[in-house]
Amino acid sequence: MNKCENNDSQLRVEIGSASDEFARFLSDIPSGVLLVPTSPTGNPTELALASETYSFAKWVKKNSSDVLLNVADSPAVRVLRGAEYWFPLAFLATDVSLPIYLNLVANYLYDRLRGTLHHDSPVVELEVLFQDDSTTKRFSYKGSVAGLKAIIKKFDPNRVMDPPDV
Amino acid sequence: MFSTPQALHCLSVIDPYLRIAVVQLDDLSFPSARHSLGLAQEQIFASRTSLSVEHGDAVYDELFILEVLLNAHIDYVRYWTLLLSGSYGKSWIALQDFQDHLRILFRFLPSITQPKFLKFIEKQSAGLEKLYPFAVFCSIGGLAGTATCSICGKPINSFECDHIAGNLYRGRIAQGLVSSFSVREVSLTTNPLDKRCVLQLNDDAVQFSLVRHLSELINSPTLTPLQFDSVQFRDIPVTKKELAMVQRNDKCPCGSGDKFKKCCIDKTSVTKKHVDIVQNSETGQCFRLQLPA
Repeated sequence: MNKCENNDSQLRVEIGSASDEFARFLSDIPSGVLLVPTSPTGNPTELALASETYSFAKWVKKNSSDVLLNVADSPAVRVLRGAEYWFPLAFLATDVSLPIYLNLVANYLYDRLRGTLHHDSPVVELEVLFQDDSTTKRFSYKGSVAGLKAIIKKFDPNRVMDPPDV
Repeated sequence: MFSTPQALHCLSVIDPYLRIAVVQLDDLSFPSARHSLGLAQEQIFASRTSLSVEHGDAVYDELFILEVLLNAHIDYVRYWTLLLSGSYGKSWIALQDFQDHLRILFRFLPSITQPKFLKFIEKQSAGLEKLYPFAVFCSIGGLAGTATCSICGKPINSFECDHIAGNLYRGRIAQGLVSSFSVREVSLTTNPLDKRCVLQLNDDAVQFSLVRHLSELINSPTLTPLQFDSVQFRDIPVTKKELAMVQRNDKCPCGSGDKFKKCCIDKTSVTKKHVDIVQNSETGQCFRLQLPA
């Protein structure tokens, strides 16, 4: 597992199971990003999109129209009243690298969090599935915006393609 | 800060009222401050009602920002009115109200044009929050059904609607109006989106002792509302002279609430909690406020 941490945040890149849905995405939609609902309770019948989904998706369409981004259907949106900016699970096709996606998120957050007071403490939570040849990897992050930017800088995109740590 | 003639004219009229209101607030002349802000409010209302559909989005947006600027002043005056009258619970709500206005202003005003007064009260409000006993907040989570866009009426969580929640469109902030919501959890959190959801305390509760002490300082009047910009919590040593006067069964001077004989009696040095009301962060000049045991 490739792992980076700093004081207030945690990032993980690990081997993820190739879910049917992700496999279908890779075979049906050969490019771009798909934002999908997940079940916050683990109950597969209670799927919901994360709260930032459509704000983020519309921002990407407006500001980075070269990135093909779609949102899977979902009957509900999960709303939390904490100061978390919760991003949906994202499937990346091979033409959108992890660093590109993370930079989209970081740029969106720069815009979204304008107006935040100095003593506010927004927390970002995101999860991404991507594939390296036949290996599916899961990237997850929870922490501050500053932490995300620092980790983007420290995270070595060249190692994304390395074999999993044993 | 503004580019449209309508907003520039409106600002030129209300700015003196805002400045006068701030001076009146500092003099604790709250009715006068409210009167001045009321005059500013009339001007903004007149400017907004004079707009027609031919006016561009920028005019609507800028007048909206002026209205938020005014509301920030109104809630700031309301905060001090409530605090100094002993309504500590309600003052916490007012504190959140004017901070919400600040968030909107900082979002839509370029930082280079943000008035110094707003930056001052932002910094001050961070310190004021620390004087309150609220560190844990209630937060709900759940599943929202269709949310209608407040601007176009279409589902905001879809690409049918072009609007992004939180953005400003012709003087209105886009929001999703939820028609159905299913609560799934109620949590306690230290980092909520909305700090208004707190356990209620009576205004005479001991937990409000710090804000009560600040209120007494200002009412005395040793200090005015605009004479400090931050608050610092520190540990300071108990002097040997003070320590020598403490009896075994007295409360420990460290502020733990325990008896001295069961607390720090064997220590060679003892520290106590202390709050500095900092008049000027740059020079370090401050009022010293002892935290009660």
